[in-house]
Amino acid sequence: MAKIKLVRFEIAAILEDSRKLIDFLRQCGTTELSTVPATDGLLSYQTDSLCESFERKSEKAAKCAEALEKYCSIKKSFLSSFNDCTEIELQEYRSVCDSADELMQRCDEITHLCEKISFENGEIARQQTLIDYYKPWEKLDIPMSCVRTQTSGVFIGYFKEELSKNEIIARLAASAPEIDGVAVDLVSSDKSQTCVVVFCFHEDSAAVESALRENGFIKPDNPAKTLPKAAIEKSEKTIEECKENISKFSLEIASFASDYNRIRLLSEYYSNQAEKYRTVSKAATSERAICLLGYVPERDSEQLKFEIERRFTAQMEISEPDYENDDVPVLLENRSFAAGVESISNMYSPPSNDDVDPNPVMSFFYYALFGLMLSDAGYGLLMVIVALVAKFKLKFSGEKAKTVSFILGCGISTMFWGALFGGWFGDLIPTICTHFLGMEKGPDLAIWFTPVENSMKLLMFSFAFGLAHLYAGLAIRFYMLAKKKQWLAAFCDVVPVSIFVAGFAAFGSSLLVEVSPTVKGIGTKLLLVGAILIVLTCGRSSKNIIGKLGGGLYGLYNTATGYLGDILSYSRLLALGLVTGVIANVVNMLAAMFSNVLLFILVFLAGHTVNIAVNLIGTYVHTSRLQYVEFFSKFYEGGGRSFTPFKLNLKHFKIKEDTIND
Amino acid sequence: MINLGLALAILGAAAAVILAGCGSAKGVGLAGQSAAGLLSEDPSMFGKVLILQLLPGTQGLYGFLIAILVLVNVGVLGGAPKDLSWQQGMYYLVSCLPIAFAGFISAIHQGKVAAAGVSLIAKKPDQVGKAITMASLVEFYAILPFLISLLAVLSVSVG
Repeated sequence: MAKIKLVRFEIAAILEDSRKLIDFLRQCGTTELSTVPATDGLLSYQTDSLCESFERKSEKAAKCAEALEKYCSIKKSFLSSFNDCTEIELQEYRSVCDSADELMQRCDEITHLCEKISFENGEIARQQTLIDYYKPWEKLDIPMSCVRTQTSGVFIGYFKEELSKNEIIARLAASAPEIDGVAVDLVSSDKSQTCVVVFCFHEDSAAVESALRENGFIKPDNPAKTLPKAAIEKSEKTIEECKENISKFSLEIASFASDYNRIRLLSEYYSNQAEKYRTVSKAATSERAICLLGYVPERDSEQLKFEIERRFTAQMEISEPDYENDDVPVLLENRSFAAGVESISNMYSPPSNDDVDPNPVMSFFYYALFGLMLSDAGYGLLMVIVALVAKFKLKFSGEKAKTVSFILGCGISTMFWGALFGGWFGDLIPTICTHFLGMEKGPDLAIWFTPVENSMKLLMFSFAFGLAHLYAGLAIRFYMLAKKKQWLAAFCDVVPVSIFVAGFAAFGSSLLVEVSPTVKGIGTKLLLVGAILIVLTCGRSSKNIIGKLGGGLYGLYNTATGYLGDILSYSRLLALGLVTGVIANVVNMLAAMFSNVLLFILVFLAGHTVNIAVNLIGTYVHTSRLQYVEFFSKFYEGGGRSFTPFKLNLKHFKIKEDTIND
Repeated sequence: MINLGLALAILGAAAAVILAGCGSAKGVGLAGQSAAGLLSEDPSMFGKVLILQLLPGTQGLYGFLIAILVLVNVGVLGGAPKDLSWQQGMYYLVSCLPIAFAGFISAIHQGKVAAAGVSLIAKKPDQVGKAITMASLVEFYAILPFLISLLAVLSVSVG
């Protein structure tokens, strides 16, 4: 429900136990190991090349699994494209580990077959190019390499333009008027080239050749020694053979289909081996002993110490982490409601060791502001349905489960606000009532009020929500400073600003809407008191009186402009809420214009899909921004590193819980 | 019934949707070019990059919304154009100007920041939160004029 306390541990064990010890730690899955600092007499394992070879094997197996998917047409259900996770028993995993070498051999065979297939594909492409090349010459009835007959010179080649027979003869006559008895045969012609055969008497050969060249005649680069038609047929036959080979190899690959899951598991086994040996390299060894260093949640530490000292010849020391000098990770644990927004705060930066976990407070505001910005009960309902289907049908775990609870929280809040403001797919129900049911006026669905008609009211409420958000941020800051017993800072940083902002809000609202004179009077007084307190406290770090006063005034200026901007920033709650609602209404209006039920449904579906997509992204971004810029700036530092425990990490498989502890 | 007042109001609606739309087109285009560059190296970044690319698109949406509201208010959408005086038409025209101009300029600049954000996450993928925040800071200066246009158009009904 917040940050979990971590403690530092050191384990010293005899070297013979090292392998089992590391396996045991991985099985526990509660520790994160750090590098043992280099000291005289201690060595560390060099595992880089080993890790690399494991990674290569993992990649190879993954590619083989892909090939099997391709050639064995392994079908996946629609739902599994969202959650590709198979439940297995530990025994299955163990058997893959034991037969890793044998499985790797099968992978080699599959890889070899894949290489053969890609070679055949290359050959097909090459033959296809040849066919394309000879195609224009198909009608030629002499070999393309022919240059002379008994009586005449032969020129086979092409012009890079479309020419008729007469045009070519005319051009030759113009270039070499003295030559007589030139025959031109048009083989084929299209827009890009004209293929021709030119005959002439032997004695004219040289002159004709130069005349042809002058007119852009080009000889083909690699003329076929056979008839072009025969060359084409030969290539086609080769292509047929290649295709036959491919289908033969595909069948051979398909014969490995039964190993599909084991090969996928093999890939994960090797990537976990690589991870394991990367962790091993963090340990230090002497001739007889191995030393490990790391962090473990405090609640698990005693149990771990007991187990390790019972199972191995080892000693485990537990101590407080050195937050000043060491890079201590941060472990968060939240209920699903708050865990949903962990990805949002992690996107900014995980909390540092000085920060409190922002997620519990932030989750409340995140969901509330998200719903207010999207504010359409119909869209919210869709989100809730999607989230519930994902939750109960797909049974995600880990990060994906958090995303599901995030969508669920946002969806419920969106439904809540949408119902308050009467938006169900915009004004769908009133539109149907007036257009299809012949009613004069549709029902008013708003439980609270309709934003479009009362935009000023919603604007004021947006600012009020903003104030609540900012005050929550200030309260956390107070709590953080108070926890560190920095009472003066806690008071000076938070109280004057709170008073000032409260006065500012009361005074400011009197400018926009009518408020009672008492509120305005109190507001003005609070504003003054707050301002004076800020001037008195903000410059306290300065040494001399002028510095203190200057710092105070500067602080007042900063607070006034900063908080004015912050509060105004919440006007986006109104703006984005209206955008969603009004565009939804426009979609309904366009859909109803046709007075045809089928068209209505089509336009309705298309329009609302676009509206949901665009506004979901907009709302997500702007709600996040309100957390990052307005909320986090009040207390949050970030810059921490998440705790990543050393454990077996399977992406596509889940080992059944009841088979683990044997 | 088309007169000068109505024409001025439509001019306003047109300006809002044209200028804000052009700005967004330019902005989304700028971000999209960078995004495609990054995706050629690492296609798995699509989700993150998509958000950045779409950010400058909202201005066009704001302009569109104001234009629709104007068209509804003057009765063009609904089939019965109202008889507007030229002063009333002028009122709508001027009401549309904030989102038209601020939308145009802010979308282009937001596009530039988004494009820079794409290059940022190309080098440091974990900084995507900051890249998005920086781009959304620019958007605030489209939201303010949008609100002014919105309040101005919503507060007055004519005819």
